Amino acid sequence: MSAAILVFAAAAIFGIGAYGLLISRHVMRKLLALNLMLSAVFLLLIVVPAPIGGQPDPVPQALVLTGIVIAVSTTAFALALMVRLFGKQGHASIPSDLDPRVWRGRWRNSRDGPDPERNGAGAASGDKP
Amino acid sequence: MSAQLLVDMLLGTLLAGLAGAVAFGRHLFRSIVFYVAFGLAMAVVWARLGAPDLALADAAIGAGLTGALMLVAFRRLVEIDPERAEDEGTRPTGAAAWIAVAVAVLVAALVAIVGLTALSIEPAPLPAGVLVMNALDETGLGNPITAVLLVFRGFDTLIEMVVLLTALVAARVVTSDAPHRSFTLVAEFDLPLVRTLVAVVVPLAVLVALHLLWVGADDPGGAFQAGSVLAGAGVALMLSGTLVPTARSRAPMRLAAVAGVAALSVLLVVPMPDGRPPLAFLGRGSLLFAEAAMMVSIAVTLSLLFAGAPGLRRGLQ
Repeated sequence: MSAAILVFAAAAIFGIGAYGLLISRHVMRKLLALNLMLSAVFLLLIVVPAPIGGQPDPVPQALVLTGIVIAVSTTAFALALMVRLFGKQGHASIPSDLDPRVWRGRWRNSRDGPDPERNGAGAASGDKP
Repeated sequence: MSAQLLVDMLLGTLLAGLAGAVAFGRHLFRSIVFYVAFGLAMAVVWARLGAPDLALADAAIGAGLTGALMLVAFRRLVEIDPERAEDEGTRPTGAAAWIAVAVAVLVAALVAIVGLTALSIEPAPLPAGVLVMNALDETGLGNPITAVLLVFRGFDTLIEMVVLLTALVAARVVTSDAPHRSFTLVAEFDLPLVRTLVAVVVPLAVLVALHLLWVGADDPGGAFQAGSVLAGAGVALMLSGTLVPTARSRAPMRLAAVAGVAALSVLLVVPMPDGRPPLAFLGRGSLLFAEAAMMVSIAVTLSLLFAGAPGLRRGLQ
């Protein structure tokens, strides 16, 4: 029963993280959301297997321990990329996949073939020979 | 029984509420602080589930170091351009926002269904965990998680150390030609108690790390927890100005960063001439050797990632 409660908590955290990942445009907010989703997966990995001798299964525990360390190192690398992106473009946002302008750019690309001058929000009008 | 249920419901609600505060927070700084609180709540949940190794790791890494890395990255954004550090343009609104809500609800339902289905499945007669517990006596170790990490799944741990090293090298490549910016130190504010606090906390952290390393074979603890506690001490030393980031890395620093991979690689080949499999368990001495090297590597790698610089040297004060 208590396992079921924590499964529901993991589902809620995963959903909240997915929403944050989709809706936010700031890279650090996306990273926070991704880390929330990671924690939900870790929780699920520990709660679901049957306990052995009153404690969680040691094999998934070791996997989660590895995952925690991998998560912090990849987050650190992503943060370094973000600081660099901020220095280059003046803000730390990337276009959201839910932005209609991005869809329009993708649709145009799929119709006309990829064109480096015409992708995404800032579509250029010049024709190439 | 009902009291336990109540505790679980409270913890689950706390986790979900803190996750909401992280994702929906208006200010980025507040979201980061709530993320640190979320990491601590996760540590409490691990302790409640009877997984002290994970509680230690999540308190030190999930809450402590990830939070410190996020805060120092935010600090760098503010130093480059305070006006636009939090700026993220316009978020999707209208139909696009509702699509995000629908996707989030769907994936949450999917996770719940997968989790509940997995709970209802009859457990395998001999899961890997039981095999580990049965084979634990042959290794002479008391902590099954340490046994899994270094005896039964040693390759995973080796590759993990390679990932850590790769992250350090990649972060260096990304920031190598950027103008070197050192973060504002607490020391610059001249708070009288900081130095005293660091003088007490850092030796204690070193003591805790060595204890975690020493007992890790039989009790909760091990290289990951010890390394992250040491990295926390490194962060405290940097903030107080005792350690200063430098633009050049010296040989000892580089050696420390590769020590974990090197030690595990040595243990990989040593058993092979005798016809034993690679990374075969060679006894407690070799375990302590590998764990000590991993602890040093993890501490140095995470400290350097926090510093955002290739090297560290002792401060002038």
